[in-house]
Amino acid sequence: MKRSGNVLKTIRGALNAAIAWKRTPAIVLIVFCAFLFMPLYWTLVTSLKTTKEIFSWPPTLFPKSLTLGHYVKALIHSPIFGNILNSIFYSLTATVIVVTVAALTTYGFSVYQYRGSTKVALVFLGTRIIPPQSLFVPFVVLFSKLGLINTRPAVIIFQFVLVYPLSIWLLKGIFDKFPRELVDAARIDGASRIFTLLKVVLPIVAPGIGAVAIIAFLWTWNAFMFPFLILNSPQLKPITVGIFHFVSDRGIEWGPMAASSVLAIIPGVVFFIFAQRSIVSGLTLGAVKS
Amino acid sequence: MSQSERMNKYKLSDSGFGILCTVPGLAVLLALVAYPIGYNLVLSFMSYKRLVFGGFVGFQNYGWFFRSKDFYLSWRISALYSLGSAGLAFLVGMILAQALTAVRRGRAFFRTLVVLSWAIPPVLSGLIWKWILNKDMGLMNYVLSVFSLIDSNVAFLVNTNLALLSGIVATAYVYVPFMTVFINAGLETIPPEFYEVAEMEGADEFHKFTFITVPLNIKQMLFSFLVVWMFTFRTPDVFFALTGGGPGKATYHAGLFLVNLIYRYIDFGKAAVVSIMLTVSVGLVVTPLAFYIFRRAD
Amino acid sequence: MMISWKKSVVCAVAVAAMALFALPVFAGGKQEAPAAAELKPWEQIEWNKPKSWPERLLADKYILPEGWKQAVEGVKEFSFYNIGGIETDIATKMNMMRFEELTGIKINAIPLAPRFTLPKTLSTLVAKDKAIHGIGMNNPSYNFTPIAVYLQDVDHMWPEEVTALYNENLINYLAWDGHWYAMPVAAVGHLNFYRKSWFEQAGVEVPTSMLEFAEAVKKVNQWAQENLGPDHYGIVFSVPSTELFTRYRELMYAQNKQVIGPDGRLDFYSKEAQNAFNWLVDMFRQGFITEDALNFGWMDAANFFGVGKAGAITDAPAMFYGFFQSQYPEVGQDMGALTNLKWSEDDPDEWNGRSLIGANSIGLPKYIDNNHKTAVMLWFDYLRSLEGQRNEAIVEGNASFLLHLWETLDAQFNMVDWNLADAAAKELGINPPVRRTKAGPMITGNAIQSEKSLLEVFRPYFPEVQDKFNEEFANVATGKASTEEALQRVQEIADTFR
Repeated sequence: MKRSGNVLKTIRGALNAAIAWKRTPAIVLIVFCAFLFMPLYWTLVTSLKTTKEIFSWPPTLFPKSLTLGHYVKALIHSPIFGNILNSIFYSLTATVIVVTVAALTTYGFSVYQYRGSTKVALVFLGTRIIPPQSLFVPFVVLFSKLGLINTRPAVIIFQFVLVYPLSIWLLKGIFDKFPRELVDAARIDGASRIFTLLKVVLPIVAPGIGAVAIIAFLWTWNAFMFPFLILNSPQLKPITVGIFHFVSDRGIEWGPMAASSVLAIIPGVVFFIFAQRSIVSGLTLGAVKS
Repeated sequence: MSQSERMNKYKLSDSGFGILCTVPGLAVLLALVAYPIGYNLVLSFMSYKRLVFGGFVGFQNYGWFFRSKDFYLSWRISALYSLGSAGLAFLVGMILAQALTAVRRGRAFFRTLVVLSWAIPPVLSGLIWKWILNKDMGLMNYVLSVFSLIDSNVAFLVNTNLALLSGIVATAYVYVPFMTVFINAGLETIPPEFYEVAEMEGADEFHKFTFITVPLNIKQMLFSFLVVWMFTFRTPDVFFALTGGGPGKATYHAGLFLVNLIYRYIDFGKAAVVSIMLTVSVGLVVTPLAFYIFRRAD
Repeated sequence: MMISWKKSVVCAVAVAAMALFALPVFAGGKQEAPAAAELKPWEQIEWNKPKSWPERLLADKYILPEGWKQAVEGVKEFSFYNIGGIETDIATKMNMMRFEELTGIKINAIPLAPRFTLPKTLSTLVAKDKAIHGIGMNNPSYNFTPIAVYLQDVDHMWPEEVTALYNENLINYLAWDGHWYAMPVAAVGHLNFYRKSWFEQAGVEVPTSMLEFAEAVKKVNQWAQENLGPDHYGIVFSVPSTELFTRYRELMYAQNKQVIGPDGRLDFYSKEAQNAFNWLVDMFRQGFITEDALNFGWMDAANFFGVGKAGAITDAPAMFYGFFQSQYPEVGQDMGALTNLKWSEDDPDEWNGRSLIGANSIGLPKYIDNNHKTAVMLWFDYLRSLEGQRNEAIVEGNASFLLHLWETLDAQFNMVDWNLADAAAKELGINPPVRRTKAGPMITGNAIQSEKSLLEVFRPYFPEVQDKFNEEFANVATGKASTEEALQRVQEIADTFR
């Protein structure tokens, strides 16, 4: 008995020590961020090396001779720049549509609950448990009947199907915590429900909306397979598809590909930094316990 | 709703408005997914092989599925892979989130650093990881050899167990930012007084973690874990770039099984069964947990 | 009642969905209604005027048939999927430019990422996308057989006097169900390239059989590891999922044995099959090939050879004109090329050069309009002509099935339009091609292999067998199974499809 008590104590002690690491957060952060940053750093460094150096062993942690040739190739001799602009267009459009529609929907069944509104929320999630791989062929058939092959709306509609349900779930957590008293007060003042949404609810949940916007933006940014299947014209392709310009039958051109990757990361990061403050405080609001 | 009638000046009832807000979005969504769902449901009872339509075959495709060795193999790998990568991402996310809450200086900087890798598309991070894990010029081998942890270079993607592990690490890498941001948001809402009170009561770190941190954030944590688990159970993005299911079938993920049936063997009937079974498998796990999350929200 | 209202909505949606999907599912397998009796545009072309069909094809400069202009009325441009990326595809670019010059019709080549070729093609066909007029196919004999449902046959373009101009293997290869559904763009074989200086320094004679080749690679490997470092290899292959089996097939042909037995059955039980399998396994086990190749997605072989980390590479020769020329121009000076060799010293010399040559080809979708179909047919006719094939063979370094080209090879060097080649290179943004005046080892190798190549036609179930082959190969290479067990399991899968 006593021995097992000791063992338990030791385990407890170890756990305590492990959790206590958060007292030295800077060290933890530096160690983990180094791991998270390594692939990015590697991409950046690769994009600046000569092809010969890329394939050398031991690998060089800093480029021996800096070259911007890969960037020149990516920006001037390939459609990568246009592809990045396309990606920005798709991501922004999808984000605006998804956020607008999802906010209205969630406002409806979260603030003005009705019988079965929880089940409706589950139906939304239900559409998302279908594996996306099995949606590709039927969606291609469906879109060809609607004349949407090789068009921008096709990409956005499919992305809407993927992101809208999850956005509702994220928003639901935030709207559920919204103080009802404010809605009731607006009602007593004679405000319409849409006015209440725009002038009372949105300003308070705005950070939450921002958070959903970031997630919608980045998920659209990362979409690959469906845009690849549905688009043919180089001038319509997003960056995820465009990057395969450097993958041919006989090899990957790592240099230009790394350069395009670095370029492809920038807009996402800019969007994130732009909305950064809202993402955390937004989700924070969602977590407030009433 | 305990609002009095007098106060309610709207023509439409509250629940009516709620339905009105929900229905258009739901209708559009259902209209869009109804076709693929119907397509898969009906094809699962048909023979539609190599683009030649063979008519109604009853439950033949389902029979094939349950007899297929690939089903057991790929479901096992998917389960290992998804639990592993969601678990690892969760663990790292948790640690990072705790550290982010506690850090005093440079929080915004660290937060940006954490989220940076989110902006890399999974297709790309798969290729980048393949490059890093390469036996002949990969960074990983170099780092390990600098610290004298290995004698000769390791082919991470060739060894059966290491290949799965590499896949898990690469996937966790993709989802850590999502996890961190999500969990961190929850942690920041816990008033510091809670911990101060607990400390005065003589609680140790373990107590504080299990009685304050977890219970107050269980919803956020469960949801983020669930989303990542669901994504990784059925989508082979990273494996596709990293190993292509190999060596042999050591990383033959369920999602890869489905993709192969559609695009390689061109057997839409059987692919429909696999996709339905994948939906059912994910649904069986997600639905009860989703109910649980919602109940707590009410 | 709320519940019943919801239920009825769900039912309505379900019924609507059923009605919607039922249409295309059933339409997919249905035969198209017979067209009106009037002549199709391509039937109005006088293919044998102003000269006979073979004469038009073999003219120094391709001659268009009479009546082509009316038949392609209204066609300004068309698009096709180009396998493997246009960037290094200089001959295709030349041919596109030349065709535009001849007819005024502009051609768009849409490059496809290699590992996603089939998904993309399938989507386009299932969607009946009328904006795509040609479907690129790299392995029509098995990867693409299923899509014949969606392809227009071009039987009328293969009359007897025309088929006589080509290697008869090609004719079998491009046809199935008794119809021709594809046209060759270029023939792509594999040659074994090696670094002369490495072989000399390692003290290795140029091998004359595959067994010797293996020994040579071992010695070069040893030499390279000792003198250049542990990350150097004897030989590298690029390994997309199809390549491993391609290697196996070539090792079978080196033993004068086909993969398909006389009874039409895939045969993995023979002594030769074991030999070929073991040859490859040994290469992996002893580390002469980088182990990453086991993941069937290893695509860095060409770069490896290019930067000087491998003594030999087995790959498609055409890349030296594109990929190597733009990336590693210095390698060209130090390079020897060998055809697929006979198996052992004791085998007869005529087994040398029995290799596998694949035909990159293009299929024509059934559902596009007749005038566009005719335009694509005209382009097909140009591509397979002496002028088109000359560009492929001499400028790009591909093999070709056009017999006349190899018979008159020396004369062909003078006929190449190098200015056009330079213009094409400029448009692609790559270095201008080397102006060859006589056949080097590579073109000679192509010439031998073009004549002796074997093209076995595999059944549509073949991807299943191939995947099993790859899987079992990995099992043997990582020591989990013996060669006998592995080949037996591959045979079992093959037999279930009989």
